[in-house]
Amino acid sequence: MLPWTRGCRSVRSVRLDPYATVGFTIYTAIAAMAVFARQLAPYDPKAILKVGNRIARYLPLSPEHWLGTNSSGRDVLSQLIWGARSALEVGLTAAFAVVAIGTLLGLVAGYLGGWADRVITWFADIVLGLPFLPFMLILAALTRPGAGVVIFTVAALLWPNTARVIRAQVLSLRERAWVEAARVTGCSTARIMFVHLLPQVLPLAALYGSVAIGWAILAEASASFLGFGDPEIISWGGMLQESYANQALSRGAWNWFAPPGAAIMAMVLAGFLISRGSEKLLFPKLADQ
Amino acid sequence: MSLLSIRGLTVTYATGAGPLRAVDALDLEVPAGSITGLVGESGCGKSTLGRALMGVLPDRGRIAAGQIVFEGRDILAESERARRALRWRRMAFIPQTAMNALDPVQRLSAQMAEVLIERGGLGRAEAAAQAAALFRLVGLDPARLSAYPHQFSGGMRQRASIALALALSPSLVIADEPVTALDVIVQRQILDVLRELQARLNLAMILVTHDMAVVAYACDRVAVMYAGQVVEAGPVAEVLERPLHPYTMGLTHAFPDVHDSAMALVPIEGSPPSLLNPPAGCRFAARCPFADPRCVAEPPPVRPFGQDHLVACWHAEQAPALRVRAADPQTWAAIA
Amino acid sequence: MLRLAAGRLGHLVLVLWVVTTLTFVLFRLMPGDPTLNFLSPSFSQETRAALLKGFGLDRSLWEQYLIYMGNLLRGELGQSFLQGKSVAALLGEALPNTVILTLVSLTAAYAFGIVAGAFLAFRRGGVVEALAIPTTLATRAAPEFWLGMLLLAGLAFQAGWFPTGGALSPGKEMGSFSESLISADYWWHLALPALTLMLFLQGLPLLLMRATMLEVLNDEFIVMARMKGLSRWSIVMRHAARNALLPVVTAFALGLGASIGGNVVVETVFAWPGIGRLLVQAVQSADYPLAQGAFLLIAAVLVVMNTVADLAYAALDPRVSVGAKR
Repeated sequence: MLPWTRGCRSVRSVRLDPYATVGFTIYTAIAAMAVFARQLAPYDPKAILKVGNRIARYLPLSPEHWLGTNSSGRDVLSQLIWGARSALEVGLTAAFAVVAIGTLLGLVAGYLGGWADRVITWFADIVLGLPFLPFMLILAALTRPGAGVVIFTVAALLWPNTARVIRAQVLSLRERAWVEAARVTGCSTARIMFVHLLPQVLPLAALYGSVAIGWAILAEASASFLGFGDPEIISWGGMLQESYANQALSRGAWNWFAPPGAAIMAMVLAGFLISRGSEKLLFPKLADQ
Repeated sequence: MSLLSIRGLTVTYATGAGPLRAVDALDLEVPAGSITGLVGESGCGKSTLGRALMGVLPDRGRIAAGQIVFEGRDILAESERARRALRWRRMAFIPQTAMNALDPVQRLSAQMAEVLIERGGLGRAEAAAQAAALFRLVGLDPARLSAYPHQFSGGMRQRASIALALALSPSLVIADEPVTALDVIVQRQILDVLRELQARLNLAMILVTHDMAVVAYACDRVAVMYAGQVVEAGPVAEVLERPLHPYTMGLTHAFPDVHDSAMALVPIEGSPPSLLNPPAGCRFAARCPFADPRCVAEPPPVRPFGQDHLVACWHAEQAPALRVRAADPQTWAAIA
Repeated sequence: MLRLAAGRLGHLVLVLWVVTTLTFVLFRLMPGDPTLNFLSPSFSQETRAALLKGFGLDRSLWEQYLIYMGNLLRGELGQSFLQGKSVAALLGEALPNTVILTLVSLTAAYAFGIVAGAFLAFRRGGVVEALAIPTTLATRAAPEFWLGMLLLAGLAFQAGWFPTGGALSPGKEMGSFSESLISADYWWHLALPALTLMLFLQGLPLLLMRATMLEVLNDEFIVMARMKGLSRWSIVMRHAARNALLPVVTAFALGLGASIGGNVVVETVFAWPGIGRLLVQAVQSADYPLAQGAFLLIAAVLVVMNTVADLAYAALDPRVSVGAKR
């Protein structure tokens, strides 16, 4: 019971920290955009709009189009709102994968020690030697571009940081009296790891998860920008790619390319703020990482 | 004429719950050429006093009132510049844990040279020679000057700290629990070094400690602190053999004496009062076996008793009888 | 210390070996004809025959692997499908541009970040800190290619102060890289991409320096320094900064390694002819030998810089290099 109640209390106190509060507000806003996209978006993001019988290209800001339209006559605001969906999907999935793998490996390495620890640490070193974007590009080239490659790359290349920190925490928890007690009363290794230790490391894992969401979205945006996103899905990275490819920069169509980047920035920033805000409260003595 | 006269010193820390009076209207005289022990339990304000004298308090601390007359001048009335000029040159400090007090990325030779050159105005060659001399003075091999702090043992680091403190020949050295972090054998050695240096260089020393045995071994005079105030002061032999204040009586019985195995260990029950809202009367009243309603209501003033013996207690006249009762653990157990 | 270096170098070689093998495996896993990895239908007969031999494409997988590793050690990376030159030559042309871009932007970012971070460590609390921290976090949170787009649109297209891409203006082809390096035209083109990267990168050293300074300023030896009556300047520069810089220096080395690979998007936005852009072009046009070569080079730089960072930290921190003698 104890680890859960401590976690709940932490959540409550985290909300009081200004950084974390702002972060959570941003997340909530974006989540709302994603969930209620159909209701919030004034137009179908893929519909080519017309004024009279001419395609409504590059319309400026107006009451009908708060962010104007893009080069193919689509409403920018609607695209922005729908883009939240793919951002959240990719972000949450990838973050969950990173945290799951990192936590699992960190737990195993920290608790079992010995050769398991050595193998995992060695494996982490190898993975850290792979450059992120280039690897994602190569994978996209060799398989099929899309969200899957992004999620896989994030999960496969970003787990070491989480694992390292979880491992450190497990190492210090391992010596605690109640773990000894569990061992002495005959609890199996798996039970100790998953029933006793896991809840204790979850807050730290969640912290890394919130930052991982940001990295995942940045990765997806970069992939889309380079032309390796899924062309069928509306995404913020895709909007940036389209605007760049269609000379929006030279046309000064700020309404098109500024908002999607700002949205990405907001989402990543939210992750940073939450992790900064909760660090102090959850781990006042977290020294070396 | 005292080298150092502290009158009515009050040091406060700003906390979320209001100012905390770590040192409260404290008076203390430190004569030249002697070692004065400053003894009390943790939280009594003795370390704060040391830092206040040096003028280097933590961010939230400030000197709220009082005078510090050092070498004839009230240094609290002077500018920060003047105070900085004094630091290390006239008044030096030996910290509790030298490991954290020495810069880990600088060799000892560089740390010595910095003080000697920048604050002592010596040339490089002179500074090097002086550093070697100082090391020899504290019993360290000058060849070790080229080492880093982490390469020294605890005792050696403490000696290096002492050497650093003496670099500019100050007239007053404040040693903040200099032997607390060391094992017993090394403690003796370091205390011997301190005593020898004090005698040779005719320094005045303030030795802050919580350990009565250290006071008994190394000091000429002692001031007993409790809850931010001095409750008793005088020559060591006098205070330890004929204590006038119940707290001192408790302290002298609270430490095991290797020689007197028959002596009963007397723990003083309870804990010191809150320094946010100190009690109106004597601060020790709540833990004192001899307290009466007057003690609780009125704070006792510091009075002289006999020659050179000061005490703040309403019952100092009955001290001889109280001493007998204080030697019995039952007296103290009755308070709990 | 020597033992530490030897250990790290051994580790480096091991990681390099794994990465190169992994690349070999990845490219062979492609569906379809594996010889497509090195042979393009557009190559002439002689070229095809030469490459077939050179890479042993008609032999078993294991033999191909050995030949591949041997070729790597000799710097033989194959022939680019579309650019008509050897991969090694193309990489050689592009690498200096990436190195310059990375060095300039990273150095500027760190110089700024260190100073700003130290400054913020002094000015604790107050409006400055409250504004500076979220702003810095925001620069780290923004996609760097988006920052580039904003700068490009504003300062190049709209204001016309800077060129809109490339490394040199058309018609100003230079004979060699060193000639480019001293031409003002090159640096004028370098300005915007470098500024973009600098904006994006400065967040890390700034926050790191600030954090470590704050820790160090509370350390007891700083209190001691004040007690010794040392001047404020002396305390900050000689004691605090030196201790606080250790992690920042390590971060710089790590940043060098990571930047080489991460410049991909910025180089694309500004059409800066570096390795990153080469990789993207190669991947977009299915130019596999070039893609493989570029990837290997980027990975190698990353791994090497990670090791350099490790060794640099060990060398700078006497607690690690000199070791405790008790």
